[in-house]
Formats: sequence, structure tokens, C-alpha cells
Amino acid sequence: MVAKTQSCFPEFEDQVKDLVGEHKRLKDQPLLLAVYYAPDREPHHVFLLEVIEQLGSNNVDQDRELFEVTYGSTPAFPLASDQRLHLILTNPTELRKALEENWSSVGELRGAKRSGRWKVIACEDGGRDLEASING
Amino acid sequence: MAEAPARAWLRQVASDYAAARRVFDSANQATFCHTIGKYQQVVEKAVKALLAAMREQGVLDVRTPRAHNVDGLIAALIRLPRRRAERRELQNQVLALLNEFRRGEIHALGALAPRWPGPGELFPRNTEYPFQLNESTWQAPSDGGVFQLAKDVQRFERLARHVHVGVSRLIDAIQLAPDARSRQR
Repeated sequence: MVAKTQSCFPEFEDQVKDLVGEHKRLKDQPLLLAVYYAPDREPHHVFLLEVIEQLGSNNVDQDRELFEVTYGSTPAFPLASDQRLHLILTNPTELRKALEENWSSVGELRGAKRSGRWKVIACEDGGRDLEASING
Repeated sequence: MAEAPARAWLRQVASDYAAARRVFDSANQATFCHTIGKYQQVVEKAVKALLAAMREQGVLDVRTPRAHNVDGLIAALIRLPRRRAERRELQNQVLALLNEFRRGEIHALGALAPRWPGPGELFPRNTEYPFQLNESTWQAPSDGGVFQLAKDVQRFERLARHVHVGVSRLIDAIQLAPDARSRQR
């Protein structure tokens, strides 16, 4: 099977909004920023960045990588068999450090923002500066 | 049929839980820190067992699992897309097991794992190494009064038992799913 190479962005925006709406209900994990974006890798996959207050007690990854989990298709978020939903989870301290040190995953964020494949889905007070600091 | 890693994780969870019960002596406060340390291992490994089972099922995969603490792994599990009306759906059952109360308890238990202090901080109370009450006063975790029976040991025993039993049930359900059985053949 030939892998798809065309970007599906932003066709999943409605589903991503619903999912982020669910995540905002997790009161013990306040969501500061959620961005639906499309980096150059795996263009037909769906990528969602979530910045969560106090995630992992605001620790910073020692391997300089943002935590990434991928989900397959589920009834609540149907995807094609070769598609995945990627969720990139971080906290404000780690994201600031990643931006300052230019981690590789931050390069992806900057590239997506620069090319306009970037939609802010949720942004609370503490998330505005963070979003602005991801310079495209 | 090859055994899936989730089952191996679960056996270790059961063994850690049994070890916690063996080491515990209600008349000897020096055993409390060891017991709580084992309960912390039970919870952490149970969460990893669940992740392993879901990875085997193709539900999710964690790209960078090594460095992350249990809070991050739980954050991934409870963010699974779900249909709220379908209460028996796997994703909803994961969220029910790892509900807000238990997440708070898991966080409290995880905070007792040894960690290096931050700049300007004292060595924090933990279950393994001497820690500081102030600049000049140190205590051993096994000292009397550092951990208490009801407030610490029984509280975290309940948590470890619930998570162990809940995760075992979820893994049984995941591995009994028709898709999972065909994948293992």
C-alpha cells in the first residue's frame, strides 16, 4: 500500500475541537493551550499540542523531547487505517525550556506555524504568551 | 502463542503487591516506608501494564515512554478519544478507574518516591533515603512517626489494590476482544 503524503489539515478541526472540549473537563489538569497543527512529517496524520499546567509536576524531559502519544482510530475519533492522532503533551516550564534550547520537536511547531498549518483551539490566560513565543 | 508484555507487567504488579503485604508489620513502624515504597511500585507498574496492553491492541502508543513519570502516562491514558454516552466503552472505563480522586492519590503517592531536591530545596520526605526536616536535621524514612498507619499505609494500600484490580480487569477485557485475539495468533 502506498502511504498517503497529502496533508489532511485542517479537515479534522471539528473532531479536534470536540476532543479538546473533553480534555478541558479534566479540572485537575488545567489546559492552558491547545493547537491543532500539521508538521512536515506524516502529513496525513493529525497532530494536537496540549500545554497542561503542572503536568508531571512541571518537570522537564532530560532527553529534550516533548512527550508524544499516538492513538489509533476509535469510534469517538475515526481515522483511516494508516492515520494516527498524535498528542504532544507538555507543561509551561518544559515548553519554555524547549523553545529556549530549540528542541527538535519545537522546530516542528515553528515550521507548522510559519507555514500556516496551525490552528489555536483553546488558549487560556497562561497560554497566550506561550503561543506567541512559538515564533513561526 | 507468544505471551504479551502486559501479562508480564501484571505478574510483577502482583508480586510487588504481595511483597508489600509481606513486609508490612503494623506493630513495627520501621516497615511502613518499605510497604509504601512497594505500593508506589504497584501503581506505577499497573499503569505501565495498561499502556502495554493498549499498545498491543493498537489503541495507543507512547513515543517516549522511558523518561516520563506516571503522571505523564496517566495524562495520555485519560485523553483517549471517547464517547461519553458509551459508559462501558474501554476509554470511559479507563477514565473511571483513573478518576480525579485516584489521580490525586497517585500523585500524592508518587511524591513519596525519592527525588533529588530542586535548587534551594531540602531533601524531601520519601520512602528510601534520609531526608531533611530543616537545614541541620535529618530523618530516616524508617524512623518512627515518619509514616503513619492510617494516613499513609492504609490509604495507599487501598489505592494500590484498586488500581491493581482495576487494571487487571481492563487488561482481561482488552485481551479478550476479538481483534486482540486474532492479533496474538
